[in-house]
Amino acid sequence: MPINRSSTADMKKHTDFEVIKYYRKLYERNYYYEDVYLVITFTALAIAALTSWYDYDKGFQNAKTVTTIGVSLFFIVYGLSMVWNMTYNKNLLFYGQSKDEQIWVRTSTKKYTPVYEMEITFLRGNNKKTIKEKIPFGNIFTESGSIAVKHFQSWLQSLRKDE
Amino acid sequence: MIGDFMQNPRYNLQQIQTVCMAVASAYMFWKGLSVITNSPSPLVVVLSGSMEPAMHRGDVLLLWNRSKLKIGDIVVYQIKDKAIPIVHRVLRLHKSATKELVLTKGDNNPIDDLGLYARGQRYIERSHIDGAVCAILPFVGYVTILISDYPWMRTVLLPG
Repeated sequence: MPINRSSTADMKKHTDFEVIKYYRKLYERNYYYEDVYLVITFTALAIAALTSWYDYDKGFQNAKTVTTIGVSLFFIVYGLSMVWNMTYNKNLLFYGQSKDEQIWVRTSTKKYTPVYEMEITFLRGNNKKTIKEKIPFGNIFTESGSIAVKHFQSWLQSLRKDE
Repeated sequence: MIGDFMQNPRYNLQQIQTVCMAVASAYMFWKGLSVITNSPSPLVVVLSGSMEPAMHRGDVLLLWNRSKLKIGDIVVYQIKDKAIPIVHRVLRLHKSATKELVLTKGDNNPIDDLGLYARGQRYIERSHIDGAVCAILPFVGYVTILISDYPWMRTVLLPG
């Protein structure tokens, strides 16, 4: 399906999809960072739900202490979820593992700039290496708006060789 | 439906989480404000013109329920079995050993609020008062007035 080549967001979305497809062949995808974020945020939601139920059941004045604790806990846990997201999930597209290696793939674009930026971190034992590369979307998509898959995968493979 | 959900559970959970967190954050902010101000409803919209010129229909009032009342304070109170709270000024205060009794009156009304209270009630008690007005945001709450006066707007505005 042709992609809107005047939309950087659209091109990034489809390129991300191809990147995930490529790395899934080499690594087993691990959703650890997304799952931790979901656990933290659903904990915050549970706190909000329980506080709301207690307040409704007992009335405002009788439930004040519990409401105060509930509100404080909610915003602490919410803050934790934001810190986790900004520290570990920021731009994270793919986290995977093979027999002896872990990989983190982060992708981003800058506003009004049709360039795909990648940051790939490899961890083998205690050996950590990060590669940062950019490729213009013009080098990923054909004139008709579809991804030149083989060409793009060769480029991804060349990043590995830089290691 | 469950089948569709399980095709991409993480993505679907993230969508649910995003919507629920927006609602929960707003609700918990409201509850936090209630606890700080010690008022069950810290923000109220003025619905009538009984306190003009001090406040007008559509003004949003911020309440504070932690200070001692004095004559002249503008308070929000609830009458038993009446759904809508009233915003009027404290006219008289009587303190006994156990209770604080308050008589109120709207600035724009010719008489005090005795006629608004429940049958046999000559004063309201401190516990009926949600708080005293500490700040006014003019006209911010006018959408509430429009929805109340023109119910068809609820259908138009709320889904949007």
